[in-house]
Amino acid sequence: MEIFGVLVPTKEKIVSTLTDVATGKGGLPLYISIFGMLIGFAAIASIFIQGHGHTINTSNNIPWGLQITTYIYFVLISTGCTFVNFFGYVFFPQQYKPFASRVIFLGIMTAAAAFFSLATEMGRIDRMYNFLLSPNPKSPMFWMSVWYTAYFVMIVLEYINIQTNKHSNKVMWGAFFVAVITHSTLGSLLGAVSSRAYYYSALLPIYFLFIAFLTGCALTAIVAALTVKQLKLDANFHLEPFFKFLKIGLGLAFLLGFWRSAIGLAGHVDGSEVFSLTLMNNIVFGLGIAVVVPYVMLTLSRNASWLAFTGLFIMVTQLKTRNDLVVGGFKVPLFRVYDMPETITYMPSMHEFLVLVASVSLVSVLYILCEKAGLFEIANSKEAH
Amino acid sequence: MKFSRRTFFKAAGAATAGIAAATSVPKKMLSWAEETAQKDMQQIPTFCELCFWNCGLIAKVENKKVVKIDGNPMSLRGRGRLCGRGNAALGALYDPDRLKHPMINVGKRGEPVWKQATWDEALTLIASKMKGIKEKYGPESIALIYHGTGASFWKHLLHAYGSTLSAAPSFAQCRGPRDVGFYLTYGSDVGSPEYYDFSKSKYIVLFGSHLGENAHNSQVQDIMNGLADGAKMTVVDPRLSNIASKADHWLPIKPATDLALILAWIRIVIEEGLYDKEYVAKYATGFNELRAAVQQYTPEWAEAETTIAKEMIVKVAREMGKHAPNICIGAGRYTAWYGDDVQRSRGIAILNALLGTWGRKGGYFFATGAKVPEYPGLPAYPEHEEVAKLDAAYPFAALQTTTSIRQATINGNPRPVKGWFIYGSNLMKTMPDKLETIKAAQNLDLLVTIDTMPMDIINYSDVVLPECTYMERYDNINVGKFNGEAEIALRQPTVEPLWESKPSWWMTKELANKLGLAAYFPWKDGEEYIAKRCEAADISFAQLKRDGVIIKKGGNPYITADHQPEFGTPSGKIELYSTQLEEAGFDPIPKYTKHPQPPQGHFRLLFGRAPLHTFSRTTNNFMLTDLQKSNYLWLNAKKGKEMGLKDGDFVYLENQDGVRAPGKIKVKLTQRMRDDAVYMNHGFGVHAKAMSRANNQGIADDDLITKYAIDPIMGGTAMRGSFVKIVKGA
Amino acid sequence: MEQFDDKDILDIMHEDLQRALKKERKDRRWAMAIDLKKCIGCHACTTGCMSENLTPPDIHYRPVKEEEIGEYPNTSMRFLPRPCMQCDAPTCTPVCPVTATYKRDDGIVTIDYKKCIGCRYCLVACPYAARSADVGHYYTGDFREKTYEVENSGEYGKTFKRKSHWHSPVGNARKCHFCIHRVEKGELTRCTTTCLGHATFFGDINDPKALITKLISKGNVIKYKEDLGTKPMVYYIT
Ligand SMILES: Nc1nc2c(c(=O)[nH]1)N[C@H]1C(S)=C(S)[C@@H](COP(=O)(O)OP(=O)(O)OC[C@H]3O[C@@H](n4cnc5c(=O)[nH]c(N)nc54)[C@H](O)[C@@H]3O)O[C@H]1N2
Ligand SMILES: Nc1nc2c(c(=O)[nH]1)N[C@H]1C(S)=C(S)[C@@H](COP(=O)(O)OP(=O)(O)OC[C@H]3O[C@@H](n4cnc5c(=O)[nH]c(N)nc54)[C@H](O)[C@@H]3O)O[C@H]1N2
Ligand code: SF4
Ligand code: SF4
Ligand code: SF4
Ligand code: SF4
Ligand code: SF4
Ligand SMILES: [Mo]
Repeated sequence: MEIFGVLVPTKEKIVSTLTDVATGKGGLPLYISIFGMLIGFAAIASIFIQGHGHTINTSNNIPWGLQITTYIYFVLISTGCTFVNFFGYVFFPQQYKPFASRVIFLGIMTAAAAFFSLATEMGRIDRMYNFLLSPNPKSPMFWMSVWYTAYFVMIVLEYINIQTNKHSNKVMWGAFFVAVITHSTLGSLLGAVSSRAYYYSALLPIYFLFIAFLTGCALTAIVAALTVKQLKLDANFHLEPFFKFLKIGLGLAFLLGFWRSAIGLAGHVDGSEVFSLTLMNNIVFGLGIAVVVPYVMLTLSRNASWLAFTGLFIMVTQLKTRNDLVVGGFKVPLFRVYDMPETITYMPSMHEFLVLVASVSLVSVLYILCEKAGLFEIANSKEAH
Repeated sequence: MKFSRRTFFKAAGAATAGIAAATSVPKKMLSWAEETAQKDMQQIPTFCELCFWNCGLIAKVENKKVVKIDGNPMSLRGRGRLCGRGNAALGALYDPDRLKHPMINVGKRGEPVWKQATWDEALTLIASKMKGIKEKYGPESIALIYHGTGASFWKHLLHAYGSTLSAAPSFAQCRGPRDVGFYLTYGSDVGSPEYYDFSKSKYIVLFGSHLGENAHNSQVQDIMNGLADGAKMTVVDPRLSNIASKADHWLPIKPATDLALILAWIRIVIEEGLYDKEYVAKYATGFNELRAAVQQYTPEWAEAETTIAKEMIVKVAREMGKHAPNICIGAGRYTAWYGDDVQRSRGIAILNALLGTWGRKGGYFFATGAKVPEYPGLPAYPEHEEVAKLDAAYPFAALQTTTSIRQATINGNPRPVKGWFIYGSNLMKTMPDKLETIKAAQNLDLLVTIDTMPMDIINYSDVVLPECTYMERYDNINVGKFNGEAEIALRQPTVEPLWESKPSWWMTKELANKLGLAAYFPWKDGEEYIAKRCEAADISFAQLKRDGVIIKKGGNPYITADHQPEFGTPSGKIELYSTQLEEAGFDPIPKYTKHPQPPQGHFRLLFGRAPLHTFSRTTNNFMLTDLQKSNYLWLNAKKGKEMGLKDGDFVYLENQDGVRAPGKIKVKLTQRMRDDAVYMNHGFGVHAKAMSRANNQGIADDDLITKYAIDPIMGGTAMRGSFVKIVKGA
Repeated sequence: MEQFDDKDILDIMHEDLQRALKKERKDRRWAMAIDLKKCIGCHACTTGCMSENLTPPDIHYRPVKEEEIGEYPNTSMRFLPRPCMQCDAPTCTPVCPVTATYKRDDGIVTIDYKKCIGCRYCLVACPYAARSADVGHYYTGDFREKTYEVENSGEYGKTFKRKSHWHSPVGNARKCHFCIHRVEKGELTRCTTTCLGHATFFGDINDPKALITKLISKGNVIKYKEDLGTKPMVYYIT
């Protein structure tokens, strides 16, 4: 199979794009992203050289922090991209077509970025081979790794199909189902933890899927809006699915967000006080600012820039919501001794923030470069010929 | 209880498989392979100095580092156990903030400018100053203030130099009142470790004495064993101490009124005929006078004073009577409370006497001692010239008080004191009224501290001598007296001293050389010193080195037909009525005196021990700060809420004289406190910057104790008379 | 002491231990009993364990919780030492993706320091907060300074030196392991031998003659958070 000019841009395009970048013609967003990537990678290098002890703010009280948040955040976005791709093809084939390549490309990139953040988080990443040598089929985390791999293969296949204009419904459906399984497994990773009232719930796998859809839509909506502007496509026509998707996504997020809290409040199990502790944040931020506000925003205008902005708004607020979810599980210490406060607060370290920056920048650098090199027009142009 | 040599020696002897195999693999590979069989480390017994209980411990040494420690099962003070602090030996040994080199202060006292010095420089300077002081003021104007096992070499040095002036804060600031109270009553004190027979008691009464927090190892074990065996217990304490939480009755007494309760109990025990009539008739004098004197102390009266219900007072008295004589009414240890502390201790001694607990199973046992003769063949100390006694005002100051030394240093009365050697005492925090201590320090010609850590005290010193920690040195032999057994314990180095720190035997020997006193230090080193003393005592030094302790059995702990007690009092009996006190112009029978209570808006400032710390001594110990790095202000929860305070709020504290303690402290709202007093752990609020972990943590009780009462009988400094106001907004 | 025939309980338990070690490993069932009436909150077990296992800052295998019960003046206290419960139905082991932590046939829930990837999922899953992550903190500076902290703790009877963050157990999950490295050499756990209240008991509950077996069969025992179905092997005597 041809790689250049199909799966990646043509050699000439790569060279010319890189020359542009080198000669200062890359555009500000790219340079910011590159800068982010550089400091992000420097931070990651420093994590590996200095060790977690000196770089990461997680602790025994907060075993998981921003890196896991970032991981979950990106993984869910990736799933969301697959979902958008699926629903786009199924329900809005015409409107969606110009974005397919971009969406799946982002799906792959975000999945990679997610793994990236995860890798910086593991105490001993060098021992990942134990997933193969010494697997534990009882562990949701083990299954997550299996499905994750399968998922990765599926979206790469889907990407190849799209790029080569051989779109196959089988692969698309396959990718969709594998995504559902993978990311509900990820939800179960938290949902199955009986010791943490904040996580322990059958709702969590479903919640994860809905959130995935929402954040996937948000990212792809941004990309679609930019693409529409760049290619001067008919915004009303092409962006319609994204408005619809986002509204549905927000509705689902509201539903599950509400019920998770409501059920948490009703249950009087050990540690469930975290639901009342975080109630205001959940109502004001989790439901109000992160869901209702963007929903209203969507009804205000059908403008592409506005859609991109709303998408960005959702992306940012969902990031905080994700962090609230991960860290919330540790808010009430299970065994409070010595100087431990009644509720634990956690502030990520600079390194942790930079891992997030690295992940975000990685996606945006690659996306922008590929966009510049015309990667996403290959399929479309091929079709035109 | 019997103790076996148990695991320590078994493990030491047993070679485990794996080590042989491991050595055939190149070392470099091993570190990456990360797995070989566990090696058996070298095991060296010594004893702990994180407090003065001196429990036996075993250091496990590998690569010339102490890697772990364990209790020494043969030690009578620990019985294989170490307390929460004792287990943190490595935190003391490997503290990066330790004093590393001799230092000379080229700045002012209190605002030091340190010059790192060689040992020779530092000791030469000290020697020349000492000679100067001797010429000008005579040798007795140099004082040794000490606390801890290493001090004996310094005592010896100063004796050789010509000074007998030495004092430990553990007398006037600690056990003095109790020891004197019991001495006046029984002609002997209660020892340290105390001769409490808790493990066999049927009934235990404690005043304060917060065992468990006060983690005196074997004593805590004894009391817990006694309780497990069914002993009943009453604890009198304004705060629900750890041990009070194990009691059948907790009596949250109004602070400073204990004597009222004690006198009321004496009255009930007498009037209800609960006392041991035969015992009292046989061994005690002054019963009738006592009986007459306590008539006024009715339960009703005591209830009004102490806030403890009279029914409870009567009930406990009857329970005591029922279980007598197998009952131990603890004499406490830190007893410098309110200024009439000898009398309170006398009250406790008298109550014990009435119930016949002295020399009785479950009461106070007669301890078994052991003799280890002094180093043979030393020249006699120089002729002691008669000089004015510093404690003349306190006729029963059995030991020199630190306070009188401080006083004489300030005003030259009755004679000048011009040099201080401070060994192992953080005097700035230890004595009440810091300004006085500073004033005294400014008046000195020479102030030398021998310490392991850059504590507050070093900032006032001219020369600082870094001693190596107890894990790195030989010290003097330690003899402990117990029930039917005595213990001879050895401190020996487990590793080489770190940095340039040195043991006291070395410092004193070198300094003696410079002072022309070499003849007093004929031993080659600490080891030879101990070996010779062992030889003189006819005990095996090799065995002592191997086992850490040698146990001598024997002695009858209890009164029996053919083992009758002797009392070192003038009458040869237990003096319920003390003619000695009478002759010196004090109350021969304790009389209740009212102490001031906190004014409106103030709380009485109480203090005590944290299970994980010893005074300021451990405040920088990283293993312990990892668990507790600061002290808290214990405050009655209801009261605190009324004041609008939440758990964890920071506050300032200001005392009755308007003195605000530097720093702030976290409030701990608790159901364990009365509402007229607050409580904190002593030792925190360290101001020495070089103590990186301790500096600025919490508030120091000693910063707030600007006012203190002196016990007129023996000169003890009563430190619980301060009242504090809580200032919000810190 | 009458209740133990005037013997130190450490001697009794030590004999029990030697007996247990003569059996095959799978026939032993290690358990711990903590007498809450005797626990005086001295925290000796906490620091004893820290010293035995060379644990780094913030990692305490056996903290002691202090709980106030009631209101002044009717206050009482409970001191609750918490080692790992070595649960019979642990929630920590099933979640481990690489089976680095598992229950041994003698009941010890083990962490294989050489397998653990440091994902911390087990920390999240243990309801007792008995697990910690060793992220490579040192009390006395750093591994480069080669302090005592890089020496061998001997945990699990193996050699582990914290020489860098690529040397286990740095990067791993850690927890109480009933001092199995001592136990298998014939020594009682450190928290047992250092307990000032004589409140901690250890032994093989498959041995009916063992002191611990006798103590826990008296009926006045509870298990912590037992309703979670974790089947703890630490018995609290009340
Ligand atoms: N962990 C630890 N243990 C130690 C030490 C240490 O630093 N740390 N230091 C050791 C030394 S040197 C000593 S002297 C001992 C001291 O220890 P103890 O002799 O036990 O000291 P106390 O002052 O009797 O005990 C303090 C208790 O007295 C209570 N108290 C305060 N005021 C009153 C009062 O007016 N009446 C009554 N009845 N109780 C009152 C306080 O609430 C507190 O609970 O501890 C020794 N043990
Ligand atoms: N406000 C207030 N004052 C008190 C008390 C109180 O509770 N409150 N308690 C009183 C009581 S009971 C007592 S016993 C005294 C205790 O008073 P101190 O004995 O003065 O108390 P520590 O704070 O233990 O001081 C010990 C000093 O010895 C040093 N040191 C430790 N180990 C060694 C060593 O091996 N060699 C040398 N050379 N130095 C060493 C430490 O670094 C520290 O500077 O304080 C009394 N003063
Ligand atoms: S009681 Fe604790 S600190 Fe004191 S000597 Fe014994 S083990 Fe050391
Ligand atoms: S206490 Fe926690 S770590 Fe220990 S076995 Fe049970 S679940 Fe696992
Ligand atoms: S931290 Fe280690 S032991 Fe725990 S779940 Fe992850 S791999 Fe398993
Ligand atoms: S058994 Fe060992 S590892 Fe477990 S708490 Fe006790 S001392 Fe620590
Ligand atoms: S050592 Fe024993 S008495 Fe002390 S806190 Fe631990 S279990 Fe309780
Ligand atoms: Mo003391």
